[in-house]
Amino acid sequence: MGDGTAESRAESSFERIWSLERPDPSLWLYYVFVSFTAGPFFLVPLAFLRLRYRSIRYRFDEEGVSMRWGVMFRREVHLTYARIQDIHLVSNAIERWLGLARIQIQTASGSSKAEMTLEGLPDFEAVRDFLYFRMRGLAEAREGSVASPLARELAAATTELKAIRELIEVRPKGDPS
Amino acid sequence: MIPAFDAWVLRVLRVPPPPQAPAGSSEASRVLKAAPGFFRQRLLVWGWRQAAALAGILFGFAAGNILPKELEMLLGGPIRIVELIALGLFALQLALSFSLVRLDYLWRWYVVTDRSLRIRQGLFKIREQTVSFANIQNVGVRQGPVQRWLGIADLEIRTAGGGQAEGEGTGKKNDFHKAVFRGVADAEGIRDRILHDLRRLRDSGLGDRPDSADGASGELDAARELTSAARALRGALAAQG
Repeated sequence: MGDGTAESRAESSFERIWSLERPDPSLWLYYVFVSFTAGPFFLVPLAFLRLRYRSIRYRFDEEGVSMRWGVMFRREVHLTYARIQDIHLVSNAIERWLGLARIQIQTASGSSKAEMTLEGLPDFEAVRDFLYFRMRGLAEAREGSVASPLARELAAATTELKAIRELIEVRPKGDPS
Repeated sequence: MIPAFDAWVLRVLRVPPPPQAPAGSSEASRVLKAAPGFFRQRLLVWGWRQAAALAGILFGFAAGNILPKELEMLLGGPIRIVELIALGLFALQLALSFSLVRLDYLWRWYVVTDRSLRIRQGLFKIREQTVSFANIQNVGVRQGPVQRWLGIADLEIRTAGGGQAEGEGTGKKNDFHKAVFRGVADAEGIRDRILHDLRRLRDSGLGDRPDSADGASGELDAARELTSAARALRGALAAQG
């Protein structure tokens, strides 16, 4: 990563992500387009997608991201950042006209489909980078030279021993107290 | 004329600019493109399809000529008109689809850094895939006879997770656990480079926190210091008598 300023800039653009909760209204517009591809039966997917759009909630916390949706049949998915395997950013031409893209997140589960699809986030690139900074192989690199917990404990024990030795050495010889 | 058309297509499809390099040291970041052989391969497929379509239209012409006299009187005119429209549309899509094949080849990026890779492809449906090296399970090279002739190969990178539904081999189905560098000239070279960088990440695959090589040696150093401090303490105690 090297460049500290670029990273701090990235970090500041991540600030907004913690508060993301609802998809952008343009997602509803996209859902309307999608519904019309069903031709004369467009009302069926339209109602379904309306409920989906209304009920989608995102939550980004320290450990992972969760998403829930559904009114009659509810679903909730929670992913831990460290378990993310791949991140795909997918968009078709209509989505790009509306300024949207989908972030498809995969873990190492046995399904070939995405475990979670974050829809309707206008800051999709920032969200992707946010997730990406926290996934395996990068979070560690970001911490860089910070010692592991074990190394920290060992170093603390070393300091303790040194302090004991100093205590012994300052005491005059043969003094039992 | 072609650049103007390309610019128009890119504007209408709202194709975003080339991808940013993913995380990793910036000097190690390399942007790879598909080799010209990949364009030729796609052109071969395109040419084959176009030839088949043209054959179909010409067959229609021929069929129009062998109609019985009575039917010829009745349908000859409309059939001619339909055939002419078909030829016109064929010529139009010939130019358009050739341009799309070319753009698909040009607007395709494979970015590799020392700890992650990013693949961007597509014009209508754009997919930008990011994989960190820590998640790579295996790396392989796939090359068909046509690709060998054209001097290109596909580099496949797999992450953990299965469930490849259908289309094994064709790669048409969305397999999210696979990243493919399609049609690259130096697949072996890229593979070796990725494997070289992978070796530094001692832990790959599943699990939470990998011990990076640095972290492990730091722990060892700390343990050595602890031992020497304990020895010095014993020495001090022995000197006290």
